[in-house]
Amino acid sequence: MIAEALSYPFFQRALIAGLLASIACGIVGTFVVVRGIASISGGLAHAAFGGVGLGYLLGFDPTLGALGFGLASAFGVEVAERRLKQGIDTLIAMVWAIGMALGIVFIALAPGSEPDLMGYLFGNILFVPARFLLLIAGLDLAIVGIVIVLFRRLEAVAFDEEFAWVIGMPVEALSLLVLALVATTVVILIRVVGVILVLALLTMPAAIARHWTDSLAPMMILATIVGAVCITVGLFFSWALSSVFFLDVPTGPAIILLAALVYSVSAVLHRTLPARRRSSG
Amino acid sequence: MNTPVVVSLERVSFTYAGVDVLRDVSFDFYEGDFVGIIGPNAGGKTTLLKLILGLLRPGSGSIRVLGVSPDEARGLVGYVPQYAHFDRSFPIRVRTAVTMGTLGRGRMRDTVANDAVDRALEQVELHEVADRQMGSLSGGQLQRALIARALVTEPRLLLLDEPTASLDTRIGRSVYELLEELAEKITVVLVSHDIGVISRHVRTIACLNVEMHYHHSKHLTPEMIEAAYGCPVDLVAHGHPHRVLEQHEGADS
Repeated sequence: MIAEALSYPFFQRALIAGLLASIACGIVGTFVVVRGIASISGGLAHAAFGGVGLGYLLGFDPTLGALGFGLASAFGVEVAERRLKQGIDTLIAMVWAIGMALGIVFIALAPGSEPDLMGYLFGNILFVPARFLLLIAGLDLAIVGIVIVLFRRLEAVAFDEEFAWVIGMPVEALSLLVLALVATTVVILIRVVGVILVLALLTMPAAIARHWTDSLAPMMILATIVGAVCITVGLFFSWALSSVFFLDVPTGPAIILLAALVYSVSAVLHRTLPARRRSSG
Repeated sequence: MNTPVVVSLERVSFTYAGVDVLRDVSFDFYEGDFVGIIGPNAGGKTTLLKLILGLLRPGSGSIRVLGVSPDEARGLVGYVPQYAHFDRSFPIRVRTAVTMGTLGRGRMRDTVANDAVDRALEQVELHEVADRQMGSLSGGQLQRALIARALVTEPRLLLLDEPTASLDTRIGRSVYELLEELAEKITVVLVSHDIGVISRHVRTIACLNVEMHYHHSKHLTPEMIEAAYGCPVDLVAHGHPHRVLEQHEGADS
């Protein structure tokens, strides 16, 4: 049965896309979880929708528009929080809503038939176009490169931003860089797996990895592995359900629910095995 | 005085949401000072430290740190924040957290940095737990780790925010003994609401409650205490190994 699944090109593409996505999500998700910026990621994901609309209206690649909107929103939120001292929670809700509103306006103004918006927001990992595999691989390379070069500094700012500022580090630039990585990851992966699965992959594997690691680099590696396992098992599981039992369980939700189950078990074990945790340090 | 001024505030005020946090604060701290700033909670102590560090900007007045603006002094000042505010589940080891101190302006070469980290860990007696996660340390150890992190920046001035808050007395005393040792070589300024412990260890005391009372001495006048705490003097004069409160005999400035 596994061999049969693997014989389908669309299944191969889905598996490769998922494994590539788990690298980006494992690394960037680690920052999302330790810095507590999951809700910003959600805001950026939806703000990017404005760029999709603009792309349709003016006739350029909607993913480029989404990237522009995502990065602009990241910059706007960061600057408004730091310089204008605005509440981060409110800012997130605003870019979230403004991006969606602009997207709807742009698309209403665009001539011709309405594009598939649902596909944009809820993209399906089983329909990944081949050219996107290269794009995700490029994203992975860029993220790994940046994080290797700046690892100590990114870690320092994540751990204690105030101290990092006091010793003269460029805190604002490093924070913006992390948000830019989040925005880029979210925008590229939304097209592939949809907003819901992106947010799940950015948070759940890293949250699970946090239970069992005591420093940032191992957490990134474990989060990547956990993400890859959840995606692989989820893909085969939903394939098995539909081919053997004729139950049509969509793949994305299957992966998310599986990761949620792993998270719950991990959280309980982490609590009930305190001795192992202490000696691991 | 010929001793160089390390921190100088001139008529500094800071307002937050329409409320005066600091009003017209002026003072000079000199090289080699070991100053304890006491005052009630919400008296502006942390705000004062953050102004000196450049994390906040004053509404009015001027601040000089080591002869330059707080912004320009970044990297020259060691800072030990309140350890109680840390996210203890953050996945970071003691050694990594201390190494953070080597990443600032004028970054050190790796070998030099490692030596500095080793020395700082030895100095605060944490070398044996260097590979543990920060969150697994006791309160006193965590405080020492944060002091070590500030020390590897090789500061000329060390600022500490409530270094012994919520530590038990014995461990708190060991932290102060470490600070006394450090104060032999560099200028140390700490803030605390704990007037009893602080007065035994520091060399001079300032009182801060929106306004600052400081005479570059250890003598607390009843007026200073009243102004800072707004409570009767005998409450704080009680039960110390030596009297904190003495006659206000010709306070120098």
